[in-house]
Amino acid sequence: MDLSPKPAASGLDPDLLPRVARGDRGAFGQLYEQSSTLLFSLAFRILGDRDSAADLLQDVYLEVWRKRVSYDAARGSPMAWLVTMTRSRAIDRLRSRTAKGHGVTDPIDHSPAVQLADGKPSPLEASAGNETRSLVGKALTELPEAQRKAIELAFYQGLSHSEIAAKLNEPLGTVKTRIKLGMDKLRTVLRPCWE
Amino acid sequence: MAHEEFEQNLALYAVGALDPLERQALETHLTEGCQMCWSALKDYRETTGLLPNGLPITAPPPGLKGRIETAVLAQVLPQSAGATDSDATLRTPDGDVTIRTPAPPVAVPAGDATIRLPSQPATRTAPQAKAAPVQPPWWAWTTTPAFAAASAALVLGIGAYAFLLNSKVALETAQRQQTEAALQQQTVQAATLRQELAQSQQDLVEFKQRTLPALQDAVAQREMDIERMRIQLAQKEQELVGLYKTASPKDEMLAMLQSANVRVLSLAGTDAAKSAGGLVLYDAERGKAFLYAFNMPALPRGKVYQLWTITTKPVSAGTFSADTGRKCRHLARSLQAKSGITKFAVSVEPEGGKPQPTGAIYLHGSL
Repeated sequence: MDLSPKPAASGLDPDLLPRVARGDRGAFGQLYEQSSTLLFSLAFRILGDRDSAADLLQDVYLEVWRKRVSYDAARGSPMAWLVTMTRSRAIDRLRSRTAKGHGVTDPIDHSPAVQLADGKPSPLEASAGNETRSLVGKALTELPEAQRKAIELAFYQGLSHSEIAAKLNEPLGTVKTRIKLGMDKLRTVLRPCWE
Repeated sequence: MAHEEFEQNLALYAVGALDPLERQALETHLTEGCQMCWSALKDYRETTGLLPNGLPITAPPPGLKGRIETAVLAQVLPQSAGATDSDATLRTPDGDVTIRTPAPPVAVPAGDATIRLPSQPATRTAPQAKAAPVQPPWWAWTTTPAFAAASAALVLGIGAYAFLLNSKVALETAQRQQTEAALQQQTVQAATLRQELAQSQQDLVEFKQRTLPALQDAVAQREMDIERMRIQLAQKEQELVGLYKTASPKDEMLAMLQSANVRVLSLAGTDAAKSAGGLVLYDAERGKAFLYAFNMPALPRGKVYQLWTITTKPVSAGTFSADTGRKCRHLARSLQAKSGITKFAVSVEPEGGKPQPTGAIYLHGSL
């Protein structure tokens, strides 16, 4: 089994999850290869350190193996399902850490989106030649700063719109509108990726 | 909350920005099966599923995949070795997983659970391993104590798994039989109730068919009886009136005869009725008079006799007809002239009588 990490993948082989569901460990290995970099990047972005991100990813993949039948193709693509699950587990750990009084870093000011906004994609991304990454990066940079920031605070830090409003000292309705408008724009621009 | 409000919250839900109460309300709405919301949520989730592509790539540690596969194997192997854990998803794998399990030791890193299994003490295969030549054949590893122990563990595992599977099948069979028995019992009870209901309905129909006409006949008969009795009663009342009319004059005549205040007056026939005669019992105190006449001339058609009391002028005391044998009885119960009566007379008058005598006088007499 090739242990070398792979670049982030924009999608998954649609046959992999059904094969994993049948207990195919080979398919499980391919699933890891095609998704782990993106999921690890996500976990690292949320949790802020590699060890925690690695622990989280191990739990996520084991959960995929155990609860492999819970995936419903009618509800979305396999990658969207994996991202949702990874983000959810990571946010849970983040909140648990906050509840225990551990400090939580706020990487929003030096967020990857800002780096992408500088037009300097990472070497790995460039080598991957991934059109999806370019499309997503471009869509994020074209969002108004306030909309993008609100979405990132919610998605990567697990803040609700009322918490974001309090954090940014903005009216509640304004934050909701920003998130809704930003998500609608992203949905429109990124729709070709799943259709 | 209206559907439109839920729809507005879908984007925030997908990105994890809803407050707990809003999230619960939306999830309830989704659970209720709103297909429009599910469709919109799918797009938003695809959108958030792409968001990490905007992050700088951070490769996972090189050993992470091995750790994950080791953990997966650690979960798979105990179940094939007959672990008692009852996790249905993992502990009842299909045949493929069970059969492939012995092979991984070649590929799995040192320290893996599958490597530790052969480390148990060697049994009878150990001497054969020691006696092997320096250059053992390719299959010689199959005779090592480790292989023997692993084989024994595998056999035990398969046996235990078969036992568990058999127990589970037996349990499920028993449960299914219980369910089928309960279902059959319920079916029988339902059939019995249905039959009883049908019988009750039939009884009701028969009761209506049998009893209602009889009741209607009885009512009709009773109505006829009542009508007949009403007619009989009317007849009896009429007869009673007749009897009263017949009996009263006699009774009252007797009563008047017993009274000390009654005076008797004899009436004589006039020239128009020479053979006729009569008498009057007169009770001045009560204003009553009783007339008895005989040999009265036959009344012409449309004529009646009329009794007169005479004070200064004639006053009618009632009309009457002849009884059989040309005898007449007439009781005047309430004489208009209660005092000063000096004479009584009987004349022939048209039916209904007259205020003053107009016809022939048949009888007359003075007090």
